[in-house]
Amino acid sequence: MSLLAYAVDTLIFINIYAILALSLNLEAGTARLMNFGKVAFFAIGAYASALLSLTGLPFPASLLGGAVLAGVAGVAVALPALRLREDYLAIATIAFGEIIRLILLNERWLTSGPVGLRGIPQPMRDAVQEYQLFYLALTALFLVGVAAFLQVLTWAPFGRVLRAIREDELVAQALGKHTFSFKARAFALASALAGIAGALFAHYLTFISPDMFMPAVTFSVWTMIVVGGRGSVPGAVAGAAMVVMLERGTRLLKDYTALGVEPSNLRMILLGLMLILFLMYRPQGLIREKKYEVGG
Amino acid sequence: MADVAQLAANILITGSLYVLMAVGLTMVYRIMRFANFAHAELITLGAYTAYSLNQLGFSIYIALPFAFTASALLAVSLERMVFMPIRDRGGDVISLMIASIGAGMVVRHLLQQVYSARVLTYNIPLVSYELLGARVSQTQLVIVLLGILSILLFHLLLTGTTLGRAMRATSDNPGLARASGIPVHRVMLLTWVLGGGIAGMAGVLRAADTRLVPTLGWEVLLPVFAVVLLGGIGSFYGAVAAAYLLAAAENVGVLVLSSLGISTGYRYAISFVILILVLLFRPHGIAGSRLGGERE
Amino acid sequence: MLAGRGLGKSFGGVEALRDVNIEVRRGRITALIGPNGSGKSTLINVISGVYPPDRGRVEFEGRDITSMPPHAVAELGIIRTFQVPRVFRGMSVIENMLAAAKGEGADGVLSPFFARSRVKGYELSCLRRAREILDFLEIGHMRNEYAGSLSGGQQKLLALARALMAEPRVLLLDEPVAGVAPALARKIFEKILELRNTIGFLIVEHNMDVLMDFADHVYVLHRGEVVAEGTPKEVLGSKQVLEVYFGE
Repeated sequence: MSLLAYAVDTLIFINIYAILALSLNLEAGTARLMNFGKVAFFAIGAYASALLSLTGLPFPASLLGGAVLAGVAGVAVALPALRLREDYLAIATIAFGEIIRLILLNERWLTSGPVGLRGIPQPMRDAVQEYQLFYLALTALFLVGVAAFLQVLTWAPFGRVLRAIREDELVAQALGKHTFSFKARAFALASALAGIAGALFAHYLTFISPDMFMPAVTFSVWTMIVVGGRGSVPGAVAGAAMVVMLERGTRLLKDYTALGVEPSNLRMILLGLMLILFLMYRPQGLIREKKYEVGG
Repeated sequence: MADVAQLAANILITGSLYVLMAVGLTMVYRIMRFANFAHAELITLGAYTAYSLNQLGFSIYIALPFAFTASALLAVSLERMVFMPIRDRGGDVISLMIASIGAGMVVRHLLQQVYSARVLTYNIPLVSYELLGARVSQTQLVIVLLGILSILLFHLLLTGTTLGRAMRATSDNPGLARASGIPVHRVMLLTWVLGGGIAGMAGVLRAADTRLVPTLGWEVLLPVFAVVLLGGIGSFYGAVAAAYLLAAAENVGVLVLSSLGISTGYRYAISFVILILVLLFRPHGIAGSRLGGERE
Repeated sequence: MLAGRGLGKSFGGVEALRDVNIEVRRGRITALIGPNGSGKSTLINVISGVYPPDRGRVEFEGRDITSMPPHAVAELGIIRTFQVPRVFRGMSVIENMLAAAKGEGADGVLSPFFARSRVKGYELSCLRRAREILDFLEIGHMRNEYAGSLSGGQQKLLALARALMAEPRVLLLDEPVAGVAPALARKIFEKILELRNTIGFLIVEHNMDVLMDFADHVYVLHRGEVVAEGTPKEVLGSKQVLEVYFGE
């Protein structure tokens, strides 16, 4: 791969993971919903969109299908689970993510099991010459759209109620907020957005398999929002860029130096350390959540 | 008849392993008040410690106390270097939980770097016995004996010693315990030592019974959480009952799955589903003590 | 307008409330007194829907609202504060206020996109009201500070301001002026006096002078039971109250 192609590839991954990080940030940063099963919704979006397009559906319809199905899965999880205490929600969602992965592994008739899906069609493949650049523009468009949407929503009345729930759910209820409804809508929306990220991921790689959707993905995304700054939209994007570049960096390190560390190990060790150090020394992250202020 | 005996033996073996793996997690969850996901790596570190000694020619049974020491040391270092500083800086249970994920990532991939991700096995004599029609390996016999022995020792510790009473008082109400002169800090440290050490020994036995990989602990973490929650957080006797109950559900469940023609790949899903059901319907465990479930 | 009838509540065998009858009316200020652990907070929690009562009913304007969830009770206009001021610490003071405003259809996921002008108008009117209330309670200058950085007394004021922001029809105030400077505390009670014809008040308060001057009707709670009620004059001098506070 040429240097340019490598850079473009990196940027595409940043865009896709930034969408995923933004979606987790809505749940876990703005509200306080401990979704430790984020990868499940990413996987559902990826598989649904891939399968739909393999049946011949055009890309926009497949992507929409992936988003809707991930959103529906979000509602299905939210209805029973959002009543749970935060640590229980974390454990329940991580179990949900593993169940989804087991389904992907075992329902061969649908998902082809461990070998995964191949030959996922790409949008406008034959119409565009510089396909990678086209896909970069496509993912960038989605990222800008999602980020702008969430930036507005976060600072609109809806987002304000989510923050109130994060700070003290009982008080939000005592002020007349149907907190469950707000949480469920946030969770469903975030799940649908994760589905979009999954669809973009699947159609870029043209190949997906269950081992791409390990719990480690969830925790990379958690690192993105903790490092970037929980609650901050630009923070989630910055965090995604940092984590993806860290991953690329550790791979390059292996190619160009004699460092005897497996890049995947080095990457996970660094991610873990980043999580711990940020929680210890800079819990608000690199870009602190904006404070709502009014003039004189 | 032989089938039933084998089933009973399997339940006893799986359950005893669960007891050993869950006891530390449940105590730490109750006394430190957060779900420690790095408990998985306490299990794994013990197993690798024994592997190193085993390579030097020692029996894994001689390695058990060393595995205990290594995991206990890791547990105490995590408390001192990660969890205590975060608590001291005002971090909440969410921060501690995420930090434990980060710590687990670091330890798991350090181990993977040192020992590689290869599947390793111990050098152990492949002796097995025929007991009442069930085939049981030597390792499995040790698992059951050690499981029962630790249940008895723990029972004596909790009921008959000052330390045990201090532990129970601290887990019921840390504030009150401190006020009544119990050295809460020392109790917490001992909880880490005991909980971590036993998890390390459990890791050795699990690896001896199956195989040794860096994800050894992570793979069993969710079932172990299921045991902890089913038993009621902090309840030792609850955990013992839940361990054998979950073991029974898994072993019977596999038979049910195959008789229904469902892929046995779903055998792991049994404990995940039980975990989710417990969280949704019996979040305070089978014993029904509300104390473990209260946030404050 | 708001009444508790025969309310009973136990926690693990301990009776926190026993056959409590209480009535809050518009036009008069109802006070609730009693020593620590007498059940005042439990009563407020039961009325506001935090716990369902074991026995008895809560009625609001002739409607049975027993065991309604807290948000539904609050939506009816029954707004409570907490003894410990529970402000949204990680949000600015002004945002605490805006978060308390009724949604009025502006708080949907899509409203900032498809009802932009409506949301804008809503925000402006909420802001105006929020600043009026904050200025009245003399914490307007703190509007852009994090609520968590306010002093204890200021947090108490913010909690009260936030409750007013929610357009209450009944306010259940748990020690609203604890830690507030006496002059401001009196000013707040004067305002409460002004509002009593539009809003019903149930106030947990210990300051006898304040009670004498402002309360119209006082309930005395002791070990979960109402042991005396009446005008401040009747009640505060009564034997039962002296026994409750100084006896034993």
